[in-house]
Amino acid sequence: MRKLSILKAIVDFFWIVSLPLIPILLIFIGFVIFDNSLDGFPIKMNGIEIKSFDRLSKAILITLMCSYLILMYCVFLFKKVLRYFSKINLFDNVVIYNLNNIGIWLVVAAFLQGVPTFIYKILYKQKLELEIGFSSFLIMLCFGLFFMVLSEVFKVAKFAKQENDLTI
Amino acid sequence: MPIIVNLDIMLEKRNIKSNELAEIVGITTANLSILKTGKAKAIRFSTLEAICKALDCQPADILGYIED
Repeated sequence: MRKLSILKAIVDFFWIVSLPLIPILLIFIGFVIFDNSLDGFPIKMNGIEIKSFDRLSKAILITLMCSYLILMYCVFLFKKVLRYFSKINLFDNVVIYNLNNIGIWLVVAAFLQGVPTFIYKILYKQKLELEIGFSSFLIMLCFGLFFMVLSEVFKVAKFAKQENDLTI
Repeated sequence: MPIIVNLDIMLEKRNIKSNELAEIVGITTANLSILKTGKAKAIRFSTLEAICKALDCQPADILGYIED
């Protein structure tokens, strides 16, 4: 269980470091929606540099920020799962539910990040990019699906454990 | 479940208490209770053998089948 405590420490550190970003991002989303004074102020997020703030680029920026907030929520759920693991509650319903939730939200975040990036590159940079390999979109999508599969595996394992416990 | 456990009937016939049987068989009284109440999903041959030996009976005396 030493590996688990190392993983828990890393995730906790990441969570603590990223936590102040959440209210800042929420305030910034409000700024992006209601304030037009950001025009000309260069913002770079996930490899996209937005300089002009028309409606579409604002929508893209907000979508990217929402995707980041969803990722933070996934980290929060993962932290919860790790807490259950450290208590040796491996096949708890909360673990199964949270793993599935993480998977679903990761897939949502992957699309929220991937689609606007794709649209932005077509409309503003006039280039069509199809990245095959370890692009963040594919990685996030794969991780999301992996977590969903993991949830199913845990469900099967829980059933097997119950059967085993009731074998006299 | 269509499989029923008649362990309590056999215990009464042999005049043996649950905790005594549990001790002889080498299982906990909680597990024996699970078996008696029909909550068990499966029974190991080794446990069945030990119960049959302790109660001097056949597996059919302990287990029965009734249609749903």
